Amino acid sequence: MSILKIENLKVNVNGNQILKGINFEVKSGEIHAIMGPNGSGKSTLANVLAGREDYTVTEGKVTYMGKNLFDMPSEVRAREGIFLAFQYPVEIPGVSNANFMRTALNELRKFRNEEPLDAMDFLQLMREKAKLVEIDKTFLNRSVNEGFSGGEKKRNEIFQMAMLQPKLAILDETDSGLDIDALKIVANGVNKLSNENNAFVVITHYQRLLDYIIPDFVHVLYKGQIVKSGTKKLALELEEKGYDWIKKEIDV
Amino acid sequence: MAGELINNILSNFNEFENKLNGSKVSAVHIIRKDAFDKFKQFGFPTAKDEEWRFSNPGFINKFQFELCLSGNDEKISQEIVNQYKFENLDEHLLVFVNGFYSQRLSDVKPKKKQIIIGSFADAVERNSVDIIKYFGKFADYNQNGFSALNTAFAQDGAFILIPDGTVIERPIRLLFITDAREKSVLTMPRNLIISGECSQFKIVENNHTIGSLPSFNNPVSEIVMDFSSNVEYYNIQNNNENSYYVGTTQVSQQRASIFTGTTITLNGNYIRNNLNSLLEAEACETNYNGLYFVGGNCFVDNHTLIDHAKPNCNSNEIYKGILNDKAHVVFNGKIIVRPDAQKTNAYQTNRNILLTDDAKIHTKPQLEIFADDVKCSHGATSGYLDRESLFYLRSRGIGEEMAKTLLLNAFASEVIEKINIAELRDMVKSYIADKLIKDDVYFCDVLDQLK
Ligand SMILES: Nc1ncnc2c1ncn2[C@@H]1O[C@H](COP(=O)(O)OP(=O)(O)OP(=O)(O)O)[C@@H](O)[C@H]1O
Ligand SMILES: [Mg+2]
Repeated sequence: MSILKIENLKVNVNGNQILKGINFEVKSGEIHAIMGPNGSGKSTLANVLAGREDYTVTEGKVTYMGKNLFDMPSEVRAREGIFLAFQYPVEIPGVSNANFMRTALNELRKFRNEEPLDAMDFLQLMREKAKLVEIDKTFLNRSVNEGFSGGEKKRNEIFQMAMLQPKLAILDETDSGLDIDALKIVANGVNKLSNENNAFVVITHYQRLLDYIIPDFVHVLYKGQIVKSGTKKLALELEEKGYDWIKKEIDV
Repeated sequence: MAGELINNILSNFNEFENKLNGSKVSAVHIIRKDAFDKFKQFGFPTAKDEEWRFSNPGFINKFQFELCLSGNDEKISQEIVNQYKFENLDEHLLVFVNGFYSQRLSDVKPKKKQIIIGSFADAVERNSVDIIKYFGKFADYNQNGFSALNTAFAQDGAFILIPDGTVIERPIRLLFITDAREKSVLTMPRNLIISGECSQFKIVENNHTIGSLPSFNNPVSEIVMDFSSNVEYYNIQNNNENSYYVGTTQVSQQRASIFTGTTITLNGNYIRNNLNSLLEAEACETNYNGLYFVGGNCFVDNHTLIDHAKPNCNSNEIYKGILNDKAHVVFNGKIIVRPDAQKTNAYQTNRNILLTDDAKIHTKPQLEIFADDVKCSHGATSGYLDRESLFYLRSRGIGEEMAKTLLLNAFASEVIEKINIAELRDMVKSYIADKLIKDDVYFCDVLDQLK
């Protein structure tokens, strides 16, 4: 079943065209990896899908679960199951992780016409998921990402993903800045969640992540376009040879 | 018409003096007369006065305010008072109607004889030495027409004297009810609060106007703090859209005393808070915490002054604000560090969030430092809600309104959490929740709920 279908997507930021006609489709049960040099538009694509407002879609179409994605504001996309693990998660002083997740979860339940979780059940769920990504319980009382180390912020993203159980998770460089143990924890979080009915888009610079999260497809994004698609082998090739050979192919 | 109120006031003073008979020559009345002369000299301030530049009190000429020269609580029922009670709060309650003490409506719990929680008028009546010693000695009436006017007509208000070594657990609440059902009234309560050596207590001031006519409250409080005493003073302002308020609180701190002034402003038409502390001896601590969350056409001006006169004192000042609609806010925080006041630590911050383009903020830190070995800092910011944070919350399925609520609550909580009376804190939280959204299910922290 098709979860996400992107057709000829063109996006401007401050008058500059960043995405120049993206096409790809994600079906349920699949894991896609997106690689590509810095500044090629990977985060832009991820943010457009999550509904950030600074972008102008000038052309193309994105269908999520049979619906026009651009008809939905950001929060509705999230409630329909889209999750973005941010490349740079923001710090929100004064809002505790616990309160944040409880609000998010209850908004989701309200959307599905379910009763809000009571405080006890919620806390239990939160403890369970915290264990999964091996974050300390004291994190939950702390303000969202405030004073978290780079790696802790990334793990917090995976914790949130585990809490919200999305249908389509987009991970934007969640592996960057992680030590090898943390990398395994993050990969484990993804693998536990992954099943026949959901899908992942994993943006990364490093093939080592793909040793733990095995992608079905690897795409190379360059200058706002997907210039090459392949299997896991493509990632190994990139690791070995860098991007120069692809750039040469395209730029001529 | 300009000057009409002043003309009335001139004849009011004659009327007032005539009813005084014998006590016309008392020590208290000498001060009143002096203050009245000062008032006649400068009248009310205008926007031409530097301290009133952004806070022109033009309303005084707009309405026919009538000064209340005597008290009458007959028309205030117990139900009205109950409306302003805090749930579950065990307190000493002093109720004033149009600035005059009402014994019938007040509820002062049993206490030791030496402790005085009562009315200013009673203290004047029995020639209290403290009144003679302190009245008019701290709140300067030589510069400010409003203070001069209050001093000239000082008759009633709260008189609180907590003797040496006494700790009062119950908050002392001053509930000022202004009755604007039949006429536009001007009230001028006068409070004198004295903390003995090592005493400790908390005071909560509320002003509520009933009726829809304009009302004008012009209170002055003098707080005189002895060695090592600790006073928390809360002013929770949530009055109606036709209420005008110019309040002055002057604190005088002796050695090692700690004063904490918390001012929460949620509604009113025009609110000017003058909060001043003079740190007259060493090792004092002064904390000012302020939060204003206002909308409509509300005007709020927090004018604060912390005057470090002696060495080794600390002051911390934090004012935060959320401005909606066409609210207009002024923050003027003056800190003086006099030549003597070495080793002073003085910190000030003022942060504002504007929810609309029509809201206006004037923020002005004023540091006047005449000593060299001091640590002082100030910072002021004004801006809109952080877009990155909003997007982050929304990307987790949290609706825009709810996301704003979370962020604003987080912003305000830094000040709210400093309120040391749980019932008062809860009430402020619920006022704020009401202002944000009606549905406050998610509002209290989940971990709090489990405690
Ligand atoms: N708000 C913005 N204003 C102007 N330019 C922007 C804005 N956001 C992104 N860009 C530009 O768009 C291009 C693509 O940026 P993007 O963040 O999508 O790259 P990326 O592929 O995620 O890079 P990296 O691997 O470094 O994370 C860059 O040239 C960037 O400078
Ligand atoms: Mg990026």
